[in-house]
Amino acid sequence: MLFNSLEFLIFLIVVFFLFWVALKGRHRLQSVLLLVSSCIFYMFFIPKYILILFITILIDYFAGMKIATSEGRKRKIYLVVSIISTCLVLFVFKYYNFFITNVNSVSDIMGWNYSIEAMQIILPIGLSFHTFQSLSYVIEVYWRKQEPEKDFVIYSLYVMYFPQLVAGPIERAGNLLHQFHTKPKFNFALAAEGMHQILWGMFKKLVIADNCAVYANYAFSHYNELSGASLAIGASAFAFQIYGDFSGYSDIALGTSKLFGVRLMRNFNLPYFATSIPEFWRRWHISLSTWFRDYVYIPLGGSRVGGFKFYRNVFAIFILSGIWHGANWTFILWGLIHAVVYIIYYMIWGGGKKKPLAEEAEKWEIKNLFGGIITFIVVTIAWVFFRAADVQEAFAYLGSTFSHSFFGSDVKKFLPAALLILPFLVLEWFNRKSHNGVIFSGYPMKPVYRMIVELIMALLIVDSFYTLDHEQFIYFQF
Amino acid sequence: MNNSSTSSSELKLFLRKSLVRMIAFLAVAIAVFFIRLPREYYFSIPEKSSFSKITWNENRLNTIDNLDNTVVFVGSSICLNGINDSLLNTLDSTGTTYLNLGQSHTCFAITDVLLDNIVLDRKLHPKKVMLCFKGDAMASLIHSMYPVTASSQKILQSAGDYNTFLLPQILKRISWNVNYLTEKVKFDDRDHLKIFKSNYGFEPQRYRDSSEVEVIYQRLKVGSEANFRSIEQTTQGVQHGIKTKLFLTKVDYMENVKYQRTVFERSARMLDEHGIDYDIILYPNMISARMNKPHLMADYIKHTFKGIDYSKHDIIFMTDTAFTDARNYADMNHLNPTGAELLTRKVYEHIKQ
Repeated sequence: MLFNSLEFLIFLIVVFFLFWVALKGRHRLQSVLLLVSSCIFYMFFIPKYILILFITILIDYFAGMKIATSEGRKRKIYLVVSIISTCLVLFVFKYYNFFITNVNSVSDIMGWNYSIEAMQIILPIGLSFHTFQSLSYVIEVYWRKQEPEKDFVIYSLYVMYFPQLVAGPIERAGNLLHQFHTKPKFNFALAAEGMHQILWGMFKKLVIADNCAVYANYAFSHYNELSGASLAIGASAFAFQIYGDFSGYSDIALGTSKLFGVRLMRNFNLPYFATSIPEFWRRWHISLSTWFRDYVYIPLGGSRVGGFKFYRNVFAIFILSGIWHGANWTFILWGLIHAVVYIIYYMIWGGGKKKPLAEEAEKWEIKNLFGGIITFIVVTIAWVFFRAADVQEAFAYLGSTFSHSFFGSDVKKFLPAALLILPFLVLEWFNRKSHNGVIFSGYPMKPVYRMIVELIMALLIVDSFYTLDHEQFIYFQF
Repeated sequence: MNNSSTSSSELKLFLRKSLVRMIAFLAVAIAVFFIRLPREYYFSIPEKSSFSKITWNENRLNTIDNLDNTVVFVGSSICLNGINDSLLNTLDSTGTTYLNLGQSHTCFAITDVLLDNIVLDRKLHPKKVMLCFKGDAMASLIHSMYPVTASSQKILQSAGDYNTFLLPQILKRISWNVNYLTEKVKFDDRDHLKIFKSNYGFEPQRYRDSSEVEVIYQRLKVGSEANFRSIEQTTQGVQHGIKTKLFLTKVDYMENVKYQRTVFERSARMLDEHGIDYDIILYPNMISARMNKPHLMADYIKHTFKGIDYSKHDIIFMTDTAFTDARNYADMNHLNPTGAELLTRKVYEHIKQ
């Protein structure tokens, strides 16, 4: 079920009323309702795949209990078994074909006469998200930072909670489990914030991302014919497409969850206002970057180890991040670009005290603008690899951008993208001090004006919903 | 106790505020829905899409003063690709002219709008209308350009005809009306090559190798045959069990078949009321031809549409074995130019009679 569909709207209204009206005060049944709703939500994609999810949940649920009650080597074995079995599902569905293709290529190069057949399977939706969420739970239990969850319904809900099931944020047990254990009490302010966040998320997805997608798709399918400026705008359009798409999804997820009294972690914090690549990663897909920081980077020694080991750690998390996104060399190169620029930044400016984020800074300086532009250019070049079908296409796109004449008559066709992106950036900038990134939550506004803005946004959402071939959320594929 | 009552009052406040916003949105949306924008705007929308024949039809009708001596073909892509009106105009030396106003995608509702446009809005009186009936199944989905060609009133009226897809149609109309303001800043990636340009209304399908057509046929054969068997049972008045009845009811209402049937009958009734002669054509398709049951859909029509006087209106179907031959098809339902020529000549023979 897509968030941007009429089915989801009906589904949400039904679940909301059952939760707060029909099952009011019956906490156990409310939890069961959320779990059943999550199953229905997931089964809208490929129903039988729920079995995979169920098996993963079962293994990690029992592994969590066993890890908590065991000591020494046994404890480690349970952790390893849990991690391997969870990752095995991910490997089979997501990486097997990539692995086989590369093995076959090597075998061809070496002149060995055998090839292994690839599997004809469809990737279960959101597999990487709930796999990482499950891994985080068993690791936290192993580190004794988290008590094992004894209630199977609550643990299943932790993995399957429908607002964040298919595209995150990748939650931590410490944030989510205690909320599921607390008897829900309807909170007007939280629910109203949730509604605003859903509207803002829909706007980002349908108005910003889907309109930017038209420019980006055209540029990526006609890169041989277009001028450099058009291709640069096309790549920037993709940067805003993926931001509007993914952060829009996250906003809808966070907003939906707030309607049930559950707060999920913020996943995006104005990433295109970052003035450096390290800062970008404090703002972009926060739940994934903190996951890699906590479970890979810091256990490997983080930046404390210095020298070669530090570089190794940086490369490790960015290459893993690339692989997490998909089984394709384009994602690995995307990660490598970020790793290289990250290291260059540290070599020049060091890893001293983190600079405050733009919204925390007392005063905004012109050098920040320069840093912001350079960061955006680097990020956008990396996005070309992320978006391209293969590495050759990415290089060809970048080659065309810099080798074709920069200004051509086609640029006019791409200029309206600025009319879409610039006002959006201005809105975000004025809203930078809001705690949740939701439009106009950063400063007071008369209710009547707020309602007018909401109505205009709703009309623009309806406009884009039916007049564009709206794209599926990009991050569903991960 | 206090907590619970606070929670309840907060829920009520939330529902009240949500309701106010919903009503405000509905009020604005209804106002936008009823805005009447220039007709040219609406008909420019399909122009650069695969539905550009809709714009062509509108432009052609704009140039026509009367259709008194014209036989008009209306229907889906099987009509658009099946009747060569240029050939008909050559064959007929009596002064009768022919015009293919078929438009791609099966949907009786959009044909009904076209007929309203011809008869009610433009007050044209065709010599004869040839209604297309898709041979293997009832249409269900509504044409994506329906909210562009139908007026707001017509869309609303469709609720009375059991249109279960009414809400998306209303939202689409609102969306296109809003788009009137925003389209100038939108990127135009529509394929200009797809614009239908011709002096007559027939669109020849591309030729496809007959072995390829056979592959398509084999892939769809089982499902299509089952479909025909079910139609045959319905026609023969087979008593279904409760499970089948429930299934058929679901298909009727949830899949919108009831609306499409109602609309087909409505078009026929409207033509009758205006004294316009019409016949129904069942275009050939590989399944019914190879099952050797070309009469099946004719029986089904007589069984389903009881309001039509079949002594006045013919149902034309093809019995020629040539229509079993994959070399005349582009796919299961669409004739290639050779097949279209064959069909056009057969239809001409019928009209001459």
